[in-house]
Amino acid sequence: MRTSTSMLLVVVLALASCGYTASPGSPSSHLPSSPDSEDTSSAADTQQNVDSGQGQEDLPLDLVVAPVFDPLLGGPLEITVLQGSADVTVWDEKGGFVASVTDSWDGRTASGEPAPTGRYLVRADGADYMSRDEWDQEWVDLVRCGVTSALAEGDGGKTAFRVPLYWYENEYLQDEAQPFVSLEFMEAPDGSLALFPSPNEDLASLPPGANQPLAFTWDSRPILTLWLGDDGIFGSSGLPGLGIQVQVPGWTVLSGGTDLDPGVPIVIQADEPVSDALGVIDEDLLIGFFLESNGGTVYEIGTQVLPVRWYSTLGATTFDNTGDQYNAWPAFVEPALQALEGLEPDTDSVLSALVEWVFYESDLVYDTTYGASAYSSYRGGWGNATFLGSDFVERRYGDVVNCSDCAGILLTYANMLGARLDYTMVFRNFALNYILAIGIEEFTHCPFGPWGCSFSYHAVNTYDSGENIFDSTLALDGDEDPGTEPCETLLVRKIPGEEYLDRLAMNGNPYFQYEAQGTLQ
Amino acid sequence: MSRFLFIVELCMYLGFFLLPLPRPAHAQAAEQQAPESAPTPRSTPWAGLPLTSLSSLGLGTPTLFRGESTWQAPITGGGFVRLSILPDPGSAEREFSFQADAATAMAAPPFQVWERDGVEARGDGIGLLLLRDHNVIIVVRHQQGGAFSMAEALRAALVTEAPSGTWKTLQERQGGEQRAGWDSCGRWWAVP
Repeated sequence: MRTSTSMLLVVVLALASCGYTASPGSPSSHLPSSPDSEDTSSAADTQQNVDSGQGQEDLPLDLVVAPVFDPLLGGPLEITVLQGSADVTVWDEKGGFVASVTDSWDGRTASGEPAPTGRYLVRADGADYMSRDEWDQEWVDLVRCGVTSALAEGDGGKTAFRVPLYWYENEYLQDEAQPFVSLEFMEAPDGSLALFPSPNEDLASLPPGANQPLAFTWDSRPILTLWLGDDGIFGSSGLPGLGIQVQVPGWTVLSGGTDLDPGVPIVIQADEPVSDALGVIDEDLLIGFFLESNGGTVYEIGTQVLPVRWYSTLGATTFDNTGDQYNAWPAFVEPALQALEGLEPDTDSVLSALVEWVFYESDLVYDTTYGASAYSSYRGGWGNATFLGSDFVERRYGDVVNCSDCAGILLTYANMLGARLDYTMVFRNFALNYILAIGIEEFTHCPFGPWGCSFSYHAVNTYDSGENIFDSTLALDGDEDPGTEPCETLLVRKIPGEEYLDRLAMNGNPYFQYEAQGTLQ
Repeated sequence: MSRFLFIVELCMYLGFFLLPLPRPAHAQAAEQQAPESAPTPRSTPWAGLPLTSLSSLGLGTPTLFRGESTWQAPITGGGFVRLSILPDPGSAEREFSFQADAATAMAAPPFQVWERDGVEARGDGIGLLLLRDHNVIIVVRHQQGGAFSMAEALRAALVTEAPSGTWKTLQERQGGEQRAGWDSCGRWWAVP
């Protein structure tokens, strides 16, 4: 845009009538034109005044700046003077001097204080290549972009099913209505850009201000609601009315993404499901802020990084009981998903992989002295088991366990991942074929020594009343004769109930009884 | 009663109850240090064991069972103690019978059985001991072989009246809001 001398005079008169006084040392010819008359989208267009009245063909001094910038998110405003050299100054809307700058402006005043958000005039006074006195000026909006809190939502499973997480130590259950991450301030105490914290690594407790992991079923396309900050050392965001937009690669903006306003949330949804498999996925969401001029020029203001840890689970938790503790605990879910990384989301595959993982990788050892439990107990009957999940994840009672413990462990992992599983009891007083107990290196049919070759009971897992069995306590002899050596390791991963009993028991007519999930502490 | 007579009476009682126990060296040592305030047989229920006294008994922070008057706490040095407070000796007797059955997956474990005046015990007294004293059931798993002496110490610390105050309060959301928690002895309470 070219500003004529006559127009400037009109502005001078107008400002003078409003009591405007030029800052000391500022020539009257440097007075800003009215910002209200400027169109943001066209503010990038070069403004020029050629005192000598020469035409454009003479390549007059040209000031080039972006129409909007965020000094923290996108860095200083780059200032380029073409076709000449100039002294560059910054003025506020009222004509007050702000700063003298060279090739960039960091958004601070001459005294080093952060300038408040708002509209500023960048003015270049100098000479063109023909040594003719010239000046040029541009209006620039100083803004503070930035999301300060984010919520994660589901839509009941239509496209996204969120699985709430529970931290057992401080008994905190996630609430979709509460942010999973937030910043207390838009800027750090030292005035630098405030960054979102990394996802919380503490699986037991959730400290205040932590970035909470998010669990979704594997086929979900999560929905996030982002709230912009509107308070900080730069004042308010200065965003409303400027037409600033947001985009997040890999995500679709559902609402609130154009003409950003801190009072209006930005809702985005992932374009693709969390994963095509189970696992833990760390992702940095790149929240980009930009302005598109009427001419189609896109000005990138800056990019904010939002780190998110996704738990890709098989499904919603499958506990029969209700209560906060029957949700998915990071203490169980995260290590299990890491172990099952990349596994296809199928119930039997998940249960089988869990059996193998618990049996080989959990560092648990069967109690060959007593066959007694450490983390589970029955109260009032075999159908009422209690599993001490919080004590187990901390291994408060050591690594020596029995079948009730292992059944509770497998059941808890499975139901938190969304693979329904119960326990059932094998009764009663039966002599054993060869078994390989968890943590024990050799097959034996007398796990308790020469006089201890029988189980009074044995706890296993099932989801169909014993039709099929999963067992992480022991492996069976999988060859044709399970009662004699040599033995062939057969992990109990969905073995038909009848075959399981045949291979487990040498005699005694064992049978399944009870099917329950018990309670979780 | 003189101190001497009291100790004689205490030894007679403990002797009847404990003589059949196998006596590992540490159990003998513990018996020699039997507390002078050992409880006498009671017909009224115990309130339990004040949770504030656990550390002095060599126990760590207890895990409280939701909906139950039961807690479990680790033993310093390995193992754990689980203590349940039942409403009356009769229900505790039935529960103890089941607990003794469920205590081990081993068929016909070589455990000894003791019983007298509302007190009964099962186990080897070394690594495992289940004990019922009227309405209280104690399970001890001791990795260093001190199940006997630990059970004895716990019995001695039982009280008939819980100290005032609560140990922990919860805001339960199962089927509606309710306040619940455990008293100073780990007994569950709930107010709808």
